[in-house]
Amino acid sequence: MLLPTMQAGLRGASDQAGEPGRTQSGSAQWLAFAASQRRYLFALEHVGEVLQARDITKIPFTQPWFCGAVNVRGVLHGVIDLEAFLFLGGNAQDGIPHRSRVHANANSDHMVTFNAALNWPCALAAGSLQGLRSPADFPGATDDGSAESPLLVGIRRDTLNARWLEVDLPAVVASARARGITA
Amino acid sequence: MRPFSNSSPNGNAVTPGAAVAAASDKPIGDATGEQLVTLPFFLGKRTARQFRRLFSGVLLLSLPLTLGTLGQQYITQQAAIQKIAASSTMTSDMRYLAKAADLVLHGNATVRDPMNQRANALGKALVRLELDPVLYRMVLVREEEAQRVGKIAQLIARARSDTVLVAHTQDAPADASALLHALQKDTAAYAENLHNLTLLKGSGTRVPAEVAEWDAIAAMATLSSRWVDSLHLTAQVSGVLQQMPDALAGFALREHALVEAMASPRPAGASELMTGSQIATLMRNGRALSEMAQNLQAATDAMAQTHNAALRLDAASDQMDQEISALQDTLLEGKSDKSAMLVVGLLSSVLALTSLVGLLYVRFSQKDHQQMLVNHARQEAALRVEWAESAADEARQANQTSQLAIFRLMQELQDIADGDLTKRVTVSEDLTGGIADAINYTVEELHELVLGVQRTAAQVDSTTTRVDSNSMVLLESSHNQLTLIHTAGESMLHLAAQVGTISAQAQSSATAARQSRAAADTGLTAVQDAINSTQHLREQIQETSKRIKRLGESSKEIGEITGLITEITTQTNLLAANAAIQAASAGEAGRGFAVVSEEVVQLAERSANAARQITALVSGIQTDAQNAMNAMERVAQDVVEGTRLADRAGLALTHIDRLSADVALQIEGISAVATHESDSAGLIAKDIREIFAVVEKTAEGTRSNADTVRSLKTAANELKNSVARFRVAA
Repeated sequence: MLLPTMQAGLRGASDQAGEPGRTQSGSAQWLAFAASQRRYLFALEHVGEVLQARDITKIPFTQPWFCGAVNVRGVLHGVIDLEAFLFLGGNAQDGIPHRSRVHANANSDHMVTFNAALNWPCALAAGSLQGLRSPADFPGATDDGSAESPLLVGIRRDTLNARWLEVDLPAVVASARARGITA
Repeated sequence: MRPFSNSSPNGNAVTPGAAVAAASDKPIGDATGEQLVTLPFFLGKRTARQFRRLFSGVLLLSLPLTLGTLGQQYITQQAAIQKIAASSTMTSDMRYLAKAADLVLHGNATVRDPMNQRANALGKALVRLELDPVLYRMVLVREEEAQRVGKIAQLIARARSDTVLVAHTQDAPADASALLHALQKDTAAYAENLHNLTLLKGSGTRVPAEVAEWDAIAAMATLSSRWVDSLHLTAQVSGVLQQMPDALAGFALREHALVEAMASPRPAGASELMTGSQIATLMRNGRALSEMAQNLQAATDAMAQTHNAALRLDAASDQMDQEISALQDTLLEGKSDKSAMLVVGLLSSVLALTSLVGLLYVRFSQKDHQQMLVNHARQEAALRVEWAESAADEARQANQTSQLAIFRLMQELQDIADGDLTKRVTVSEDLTGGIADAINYTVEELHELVLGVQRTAAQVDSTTTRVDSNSMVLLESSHNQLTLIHTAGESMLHLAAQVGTISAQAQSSATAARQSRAAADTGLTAVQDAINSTQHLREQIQETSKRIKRLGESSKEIGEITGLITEITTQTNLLAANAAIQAASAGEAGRGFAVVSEEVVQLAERSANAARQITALVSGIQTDAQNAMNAMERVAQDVVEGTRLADRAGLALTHIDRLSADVALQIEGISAVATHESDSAGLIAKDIREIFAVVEKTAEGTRSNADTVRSLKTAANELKNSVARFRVAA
């Protein structure tokens, strides 16, 4: 009963992907997160809600980047470990033991749901929330992030020259769908 | 023919004899021609020979008696002097022995040789006191005196054995004292060591075994330090020695407890703090202490023996003083007895003199008689001449021859009358034959008498010379005696003065001891004040510690609140982020709201920063409070330690106070004894003055004796001179 609803949600959100991401108005544009190894930026227009990462119910025999399921105001969401999805998931095979997922999820204090426009009932466990960021925070040039992962918009550098990976959330949704989060 | 001696048959022959008998109005002796001599007093009338025999007998009896008495008295006096001198040296020797034993008891080993010498001197003095039986055979030793000398001999024998004991165990006291000091040092070091260990570990973590160990070593240290304290005080030594076995048993018990405590298992934490080598050192110290305590036990036994010997010596010295003074009293009494002997000697010498004088008197009166006899013979001759002239006619021839014979007789008699008693008249057959025979007999007797007188005079002379020399010696010795006694009296007075000085010094010492006691009291008060102030300090520290603890607790609460704030800030941050997301999704309409939410986020971040700073500050406060509490605890511990030290000081001061009181008491006792001694010395000086008077009297008597003897000698010389004109040898 849960899975069909999820699948339906995911299918319905696929044709609207990418559209609202381009509207950039207001000072703050990103939500900033710090995971165990990297820092991430999410465009505000693609984000649905920031939640504390707790009460995640683990589900056995799933992908290594799939942390489990969580109840967000009565709607079942799947939880995806962003780092594992971005950098592990690409090369990962189905045979990776489930234990590693627990480890990958350890530092994720917060998780982010996708915007309703993306129509995908999932949450990204992306580390701890660092606040809001605006373009003024990143005076340097933007690098191309495709070398590290195809799911990045780019890599920005702040005043302290720290690297921030701007995640292309619609691409993430597409990739997830492509990987078959259907069943 | 002996007409004179035997009455002739005819009456004519009788007449001259009757006439001669009638002419003599003096008492004339009997048929043997002895003459009766009258002497004054009770002697009455006796013949000269009888008197001579009587006086010679009395003289022969009384002269040896005189000489004997004088000699005996001389020797007795010499003996008494020797005895008094011997007994005086005995008293001083005995006192020295008692004092030296006391010194040896306090570890002074230098007096041991003098001590042995004094003991030998005591033996020699005893021999002098008992008197050489060969030399002083004549001296009568009275029963009482003999008893006293016997008691003194016993005392000296015991004192000598005690002296040998003290001299043999002379190293023991020093050993005991040194051992006690070492023991005190070791226990103190041991206690220090243990104390350091417990301090190292910190408070509140003592294991029961360690507590027992600590208690044991503390008790040992206290015991040993008390012994050492006691060692400094003479009077306490005997008490300490009596307590020593009990104390040693307690010590051994503590030691046993200590070894058990060391051996008992400890928790892991405790054994880590106490390394193996430290434990080994402690164990070794414990064993050394045990050995030392055993040595001390042995030394203490020896010391107790020595101490008893010293006490006995002291008692013997006192007893000796009593005995010696009693003996001297006895000797003085003996002297007064001897004055009776002196009277006997004087009486006998007077008797001898009297008899000598009587003898001389008799001799002289006999000489008178002989001259009278000669005169009488002359008268008789004259009578005979008259008688011959009246009967001239009938005996002209006979008359002639008789005249011739008488003339010859007269001539021969002339020499005899001149004093030549060697001459004899010719005994012829004529008329003078009988007369000559009688004269010869008379001269013979006279010759014998004069010889006797000369012999006796010579004897008297030599005897008086001897007596004179003897009395000179006696006089000299009594003079020496006087000097000696005078010296003794002076030294006695000197002694009394010195004893007085000692008494005064003892008084000032007692004052000093009292002052020291007052000082100890003051010190005690000061220590009490210090204890009180320390107590106050301790309370304040406890109060401060409590406050700091409360501060720590408050800061903890602050930390909790800060945690809450941080949580709220996180929530706020989350909410603001969500608001920003909502605003972004609202597009242009949500722009204002987005600005507000951004501000909220910034505020939340600032409050999070502030909360972080507060947390850092609070944790700093908490650390500081913890440090302060630890420091306070250490200070409190130090204060406890300080209080304990002050308590110990107070205890020591109490001890000092008690000891000072003891010292004051002892010194007052010494002062009392010294005063008593001074009085006794004064009494002795008085006695010596009396002795001096008695001896002076004796010397006076001896001098008058010597004078009498000298006058006797003069009389004898006069006698000799008066009979010298008689020629008695051919």
